[in-house]
Amino acid sequence: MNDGASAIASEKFVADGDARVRIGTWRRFAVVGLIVLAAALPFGLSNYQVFELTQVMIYAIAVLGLNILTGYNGQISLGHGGFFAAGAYTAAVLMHRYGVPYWATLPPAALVGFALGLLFGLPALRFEGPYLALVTLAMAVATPQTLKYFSWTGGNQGLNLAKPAAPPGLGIDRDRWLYLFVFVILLLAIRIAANLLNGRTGRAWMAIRDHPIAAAAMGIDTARYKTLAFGTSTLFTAVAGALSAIVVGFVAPESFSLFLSVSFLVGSAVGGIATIAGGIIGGFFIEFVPNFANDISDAAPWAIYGLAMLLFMYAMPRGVVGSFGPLVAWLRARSGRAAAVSEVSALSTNAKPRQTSQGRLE
Amino acid sequence: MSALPLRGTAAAQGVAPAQLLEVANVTMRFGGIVALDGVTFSVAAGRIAGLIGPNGAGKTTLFNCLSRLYRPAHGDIRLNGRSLNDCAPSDIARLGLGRTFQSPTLFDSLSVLDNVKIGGHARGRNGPLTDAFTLPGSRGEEHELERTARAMLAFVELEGAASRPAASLTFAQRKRVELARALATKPSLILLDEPAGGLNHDEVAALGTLIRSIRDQLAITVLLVEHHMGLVMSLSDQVVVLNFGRVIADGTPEAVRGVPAVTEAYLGTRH
Repeated sequence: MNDGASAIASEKFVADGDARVRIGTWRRFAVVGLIVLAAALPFGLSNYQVFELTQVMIYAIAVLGLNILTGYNGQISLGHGGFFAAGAYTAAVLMHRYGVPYWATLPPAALVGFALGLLFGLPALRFEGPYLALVTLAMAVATPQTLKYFSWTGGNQGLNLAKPAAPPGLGIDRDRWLYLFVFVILLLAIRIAANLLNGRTGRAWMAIRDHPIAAAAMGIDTARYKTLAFGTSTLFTAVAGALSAIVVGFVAPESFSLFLSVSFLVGSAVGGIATIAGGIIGGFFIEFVPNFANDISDAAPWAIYGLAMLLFMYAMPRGVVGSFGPLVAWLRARSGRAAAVSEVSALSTNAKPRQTSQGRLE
Repeated sequence: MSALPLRGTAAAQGVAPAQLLEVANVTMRFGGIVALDGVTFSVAAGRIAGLIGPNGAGKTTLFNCLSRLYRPAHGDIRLNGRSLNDCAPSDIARLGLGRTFQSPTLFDSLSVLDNVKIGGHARGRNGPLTDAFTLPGSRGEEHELERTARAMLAFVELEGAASRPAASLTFAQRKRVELARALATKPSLILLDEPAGGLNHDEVAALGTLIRSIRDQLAITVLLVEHHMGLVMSLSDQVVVLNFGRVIADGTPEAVRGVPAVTEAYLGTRH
């Protein structure tokens, strides 16, 4: 029985491998096309629109970080605004006090984010669901005042930064240069996240989210991987914070209020918590919906914001990408394609993670 | 103990076979209740051993001690001569002990293939950095893992379901995927907790064939807890009978069947 079976298995493997190559080529074309389009986009828009889209991409990286933790590992965080602030201030202090070039502040911001996340991840091991939400809430609540307390953070006034100029010889202005700079970091972040989630690490994270006891029985050190998920998540979000400081050219404690943390969670839910592309949708929501709400009603923008949020969650309870994902997965399955991370994401919106996260949000 | 006279019936003649699993004097208490009371037995490599006993006899408790979900108060458990006393649950798979659960515990939001791949976690070496930057070797490990996972799915005759979400499977299919996942850990000993539970007549017959081929073709030793007497007696090389946390018999199915204590404790419960 087994000899025959393994022969079938290897044939099947080869067949799937071929299908992957064929469809992989098409996908590569589509991805390259999208990248070229997105890179060309700023040259047809106003300076302010370019700035807004840059902000969208920064939020997308922050939400992607949160998705790794909440969507793929099942741990909730109401404190990611604090980690975003940590990254922003790392970049700002390095640029302002030590004259470090803007691009060189990203690795230290990543390290600070990772280290802080590990520190938070350890106590988080003892808490779940609403309790973990409260523990992380402490981070969000404490952030602005902590930043005001120290003098090297510029106190209440914050720090003004010189906006970086485009490299000479490229012939593009500062806003478009920063757009492209952030775009490259976003692509890197997506690639790294997809690699992690497609690999041994990501499978371990998802296994813990779905069934921690079975995950441990499979040899997954759940404490280690949950802490690692926290650190990885906050690394992404801190890098986003550093980019924000660079692009805005200014950091102040009040920019990192509790509402920022809530915004990330809203962006994550609207885009789809267990998705990678959902981060981008979340970025658009965070950047544009408050302004849009203001345009509709000067008097009650937050009522409009709340309404928009409700409409999104009612129409697409799994988030935008989470709701379209299953359709894409079905189309792919029809064309005989094997698992890829977006398919897994689509599947992962099935039941359990949504329920738990909704339970935790309530 | 009363179990001793039955020892040495079949395979222990001549040169004693290597004892893969040695359970020595294991005691487990929950509050005032003694769930396991000095349990002692061993399983030789290459055997199928059945662990039976009435409900509440301590079978699943013993499984949970073996996979370190519980820490026994006393006693020692050795796998391949190595004591598991200082091991965490997550060390067990790497040491060669795979298990399934009474009700199948799949990772429901993942595909069937990914579920089985997670079985290979303990044997894997890719870390976060190797994964994040697909450093040299990471692809090779992933391909090897995929090959193993597909082979194990084929072994349980579910190769066609590889890309389906685990949540969409029937109960019997879920049990098979869980088995494939445990086999993907490449264990030397696999613990099956009521593999026939909830299966129909035909499915039980197919399961029997499958368990035999785990021993004969994959060379994996099997320890199964099972209520389905027909299945246990026809499959097992050795049967260990627990009652109220004690071993009351240990030997070949024929030998165990003849022990009065077993008839009383186990079969005697049938009116």
